Amino acid sequence: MTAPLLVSGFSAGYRQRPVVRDLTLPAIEPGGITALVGPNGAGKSTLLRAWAGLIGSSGVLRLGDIDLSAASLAERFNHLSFMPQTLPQRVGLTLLETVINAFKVSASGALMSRTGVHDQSMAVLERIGIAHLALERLDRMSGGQRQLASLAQALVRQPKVLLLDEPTSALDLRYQILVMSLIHDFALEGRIVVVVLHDLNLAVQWAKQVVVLNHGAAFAVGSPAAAVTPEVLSEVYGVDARVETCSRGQVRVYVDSARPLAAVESP
Amino acid sequence: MRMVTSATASERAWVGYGRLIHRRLLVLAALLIGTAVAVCLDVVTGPSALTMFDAVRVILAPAGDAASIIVWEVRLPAALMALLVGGSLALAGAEMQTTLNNPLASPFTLGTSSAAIFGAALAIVLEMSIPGVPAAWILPVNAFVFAFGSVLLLQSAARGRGSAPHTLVLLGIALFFTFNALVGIIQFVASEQALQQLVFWTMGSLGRSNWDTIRIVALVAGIILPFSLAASWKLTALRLGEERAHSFGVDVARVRLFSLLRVSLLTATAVAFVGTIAFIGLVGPHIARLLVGEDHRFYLPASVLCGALMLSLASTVSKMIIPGVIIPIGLVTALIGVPFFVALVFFKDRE
Repeated sequence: MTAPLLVSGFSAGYRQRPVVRDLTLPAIEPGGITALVGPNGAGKSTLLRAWAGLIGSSGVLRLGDIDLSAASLAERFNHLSFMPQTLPQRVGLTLLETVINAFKVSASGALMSRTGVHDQSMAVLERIGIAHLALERLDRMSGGQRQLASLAQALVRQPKVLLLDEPTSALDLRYQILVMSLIHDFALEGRIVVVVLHDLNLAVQWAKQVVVLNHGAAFAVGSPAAAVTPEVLSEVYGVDARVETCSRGQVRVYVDSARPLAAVESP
Repeated sequence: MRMVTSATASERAWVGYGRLIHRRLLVLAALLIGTAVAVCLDVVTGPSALTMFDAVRVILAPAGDAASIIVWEVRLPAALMALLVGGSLALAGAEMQTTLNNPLASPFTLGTSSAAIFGAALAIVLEMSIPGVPAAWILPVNAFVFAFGSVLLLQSAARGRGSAPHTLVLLGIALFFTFNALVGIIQFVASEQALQQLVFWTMGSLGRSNWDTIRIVALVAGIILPFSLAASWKLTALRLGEERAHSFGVDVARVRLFSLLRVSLLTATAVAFVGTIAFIGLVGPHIARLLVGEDHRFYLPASVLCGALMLSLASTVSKMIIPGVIIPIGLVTALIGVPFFVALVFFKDRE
């Protein structure tokens, strides 16, 4: 079981434009998906990218006893894996090659035998259900297929902490569910999974914990039912919404209308 | 049922992957043979009528006759220089296209070779000398200083936030014209003797190759190639995107800096002795990419071989266009390269 991810007094952003300010979250435990939701510009991606060390940050970021904020690049990525929001470039590499490469350049993959790398790469493709695309080149794939390729590259090292930035944005309905179910299983194996999602229904359906970000601060944190309420949605997104329990006992979000821009507080 | 299908999919993938690797090795072997043949062709063609039999005879057993002198002092140095310079420029172009993430990048198109020539021209005109450094090394060293400066400038533009690929190409064109103009100024004020050397550079010629300069180019290329190959996994990761490579744990800034250092060294040594050779560094990598894909373990050696093969062929052609006259090889590669360059621009636009 992985130690929890601890975030406190955490700030991140770009030069002259701090995006996340003095953020403190309850310990992020393994065993369930943590969903990061919020309106555009709330700082979701910035937060994830800062945890991955792609942009500068300050404050506490620990994995149990390990101080991730002070760790070297190689050490940080020994523990965590990050799936960027942008799709992989259209290159003349086959899917299998990109996954082998993603594993081989990492600190853990460099030490592993060739067959070990190959087996684990193929296993992740099978798990995502794209083994039949293994020899397809990325420059001949659709956007959705490249997003699945991206997920495979992030999962292949079997990291303790998995940070995913909108992993389902280019996927059709079926693969959205397949991917959410897959990373849910991944979390149940005792890993920490943090996912940025725009689709609130995916978030409330799959997450154990939801963090609603607004203006770089945590507006609401808790179980889906506790964090995603009509009041929170009204305040953060500027929409009139209902949060109801469906006939199968699951929480569902129905958005009825968006208020005119003038009535919305955020710019 | 699902288990069964996925197992066969996996097996099929392994068989296919093995075949893919096998096919690429075959392509590399074919390129190697092709390059060897092209070098032989290059050696036996030339203004003085020399039969293939004569050429082989004096290579195996050098005698004091005219044939020996022609082969050993003229043909072989020029042919080996074509081989080395072609390979060096194509390797430099391949690494540039990856690190700057731009299909139009090459030492020629982004002004790196112009910068190198300016550096070398400066060394000649100012009659620079560095104590303890052999005279033959001054040109490549000074060429390197300017080439490295120009790629660092390009790199900072490539990394700047919000910079589109065409920004980089525009900056490269600006560098190209700036350094060409500076070389023009040097030509204008240069002495008669220096001018001769400068003109020879701007056209690009293998005519001045000798065993000393060949040794230098071979040494630099021979040292750099293993480092390039050692970085091939990381360069492949970089092709997927900078952020992605970073998220695999690759220190992108470091990989990039060392790659551009290699690019500058290769370009500077190649250009310092033969002058501007257009488009080999651009076209070589593109042909390699079509042949073996972008796994840099294969893509880099294939680029080297494509560049060497093309420049050897260009050298042969340069001796055959007008009988008895060797046309400067830079002009030949430019004429062959331009149509390819145009095709590339149109093809990329459609994408």
